[in-house]
Amino acid sequence: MFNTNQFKLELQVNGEQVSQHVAPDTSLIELLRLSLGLTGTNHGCDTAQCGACTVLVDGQAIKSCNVLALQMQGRAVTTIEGLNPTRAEPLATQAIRDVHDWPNPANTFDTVDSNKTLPLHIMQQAFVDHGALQCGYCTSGMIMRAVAMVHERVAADEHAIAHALGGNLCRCTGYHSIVQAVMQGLGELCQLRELQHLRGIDATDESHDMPQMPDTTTSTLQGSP
Amino acid sequence: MSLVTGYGRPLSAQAACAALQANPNAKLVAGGQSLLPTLRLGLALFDEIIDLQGLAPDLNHIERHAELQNGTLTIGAMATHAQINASATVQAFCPMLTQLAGRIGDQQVRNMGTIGGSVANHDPAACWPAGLLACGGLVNIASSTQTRQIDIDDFFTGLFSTDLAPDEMVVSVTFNKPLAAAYLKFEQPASRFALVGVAVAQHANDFRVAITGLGHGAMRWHEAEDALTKATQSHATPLAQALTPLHLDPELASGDIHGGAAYRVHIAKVLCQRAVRQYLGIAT
Repeated sequence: MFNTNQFKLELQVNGEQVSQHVAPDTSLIELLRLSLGLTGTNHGCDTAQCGACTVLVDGQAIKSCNVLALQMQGRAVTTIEGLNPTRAEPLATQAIRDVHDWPNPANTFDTVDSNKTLPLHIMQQAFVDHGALQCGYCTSGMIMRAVAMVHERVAADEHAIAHALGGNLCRCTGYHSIVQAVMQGLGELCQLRELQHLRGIDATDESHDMPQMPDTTTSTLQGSP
Repeated sequence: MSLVTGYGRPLSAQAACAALQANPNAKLVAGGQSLLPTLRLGLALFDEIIDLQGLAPDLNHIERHAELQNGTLTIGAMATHAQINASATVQAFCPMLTQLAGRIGDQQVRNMGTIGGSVANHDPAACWPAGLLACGGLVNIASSTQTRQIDIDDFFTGLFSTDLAPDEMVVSVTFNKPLAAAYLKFEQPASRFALVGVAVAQHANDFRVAITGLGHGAMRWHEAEDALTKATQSHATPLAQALTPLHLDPELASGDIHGGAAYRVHIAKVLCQRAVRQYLGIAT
C-alpha cells in the first residue's frame, strides 16, 4: 500500500460490525478481499463491466470494484459468504437443503471443519442443480445478483431474468443454464416470501418509492414468526 | 493506484462546495459509476475525494409540483437511477423518464449511479441530458454561499462541460411535464451507453427533440422540432412523415470504433422517426 492517508470506516459485513482504517481510493472489493479475507467475491474487469464482484448493499446488488470502501459508511454489505444460513430458523430450514457431496463454494477456502458441509442458500443450490457454471469465476457475482432480484420483483421467466442479468458476464456457459438456475432459485425464493407473507412476516416495506429492503439473506433466511 | 490522498464526507451541499473551493484538485463523487473507472484507468487526476453519500438522505427526494405550469418534477441530485426507475411519482409524471432510468447501464450500476452525477458529468453518451433537454426544465445549483437556477438549455456547454463553476454542484434537476414523450436509444452492447439516444417530447405549443451519443454532448435538433411543430399546427404533413426530408449534418457528430459520424447521424434520424411513431402508437 502506497497510500498512507487512511480514514475511519464503519460498516456491517455479513451481519458483523466492521471498523477499519482505509485509504480514500480503496475499493470495496479490496477491503473485502485483502483486509477482511472474504475471497468469495471475485475481482474481474475492475471497471464495472463484468459483474463478477457483485455484492449486496442494504439488499441491493452493486459492483464492489466500482464503489469506494468509504462510500459504504454505515451500510450493510452481504457477500457470498454471508448467504450461509448459519442461524437457520424453522422457515429457513425449508429453504435450504443439505448437500453432502458438493463442496460449499462459499467455504472453499475455509479450513475449519472441512468434514461438515454447511447447507447452501436456495440460489446456490439452484446453480448446483443446473450445473450453471464452468470455471466458476463469475458465479458468486451471478448468485448475488440473482438473490437481489427477489426484491426487485423480477419475474421468474427467462426473458426477465436474462435482462436482469445484463450486468453479469460469463465467458464459459453461454448463459442458458445460468438463466435456468436463476429461474428455479427465484421461483423458490418468491414462494418462500409468499409463505412468510402468509405467516404475517412483512418482508417488504412498500411505503417508499424504492422498497428499502433489509439485507436479503437475513430477511429470507432468518425470518421467523 | 491513484494519487488520491484526501477524503471528505460533507453533510451539506454548502460544505461540499466549500471543500471544492478549498482544494481545486478535489473531486465530488456521487455514485462514482463514471468517475471511479476513469480514475482506475488513469484518465482522471485529482488528489481528494469529496464523498457525497452523506448528502443522499437530503438530496434523493422526488417531488411533484402540480401548481406550476402543467406541473414540474424535481429530482434530488443523489437519487439513483434505480430509485427513479422504481418511483410511482416519476411514472405518473412522465413514463419516458421511468424507461430512460431503467435502461441506464445495468441494475448494479443503477443502484449506485445518480441523476446529479450524470447531469454534472455530461458524458457525451449519457441518457439523462437528452431526457432533460427534451422535457425542458431547470438545474438547481449550489455553491458554498448561494444557490441559483439555470435553464437546462443553457446548462450543457459541450463535451463533459457544463455551466457549473469549479466550486459549484448540482443539487437537483426540475423537469417540465410534456404532453407525451418517448426516449429511444441504440445501445453500444457492451457498455449499454447510448451509441445514439433520442428523446422526443411534445409540449403544449411545440416539440423538443434532444439527441445524445453524437460525440459532442447532448444537443437539441431544432429543425426536427420545427418540422414536428409545423406538422401538428398545419395538419398538412402527417406527423410520422414530418422528419423524412430532414438531414442531420454529420459535422455534428464524431465517430469512434463503434460507429462513424455519418452512421451516427443516420441512426439518430431513424430513432427520432421511430420515437414519433411510438408516440403516435404506430408500429415500426
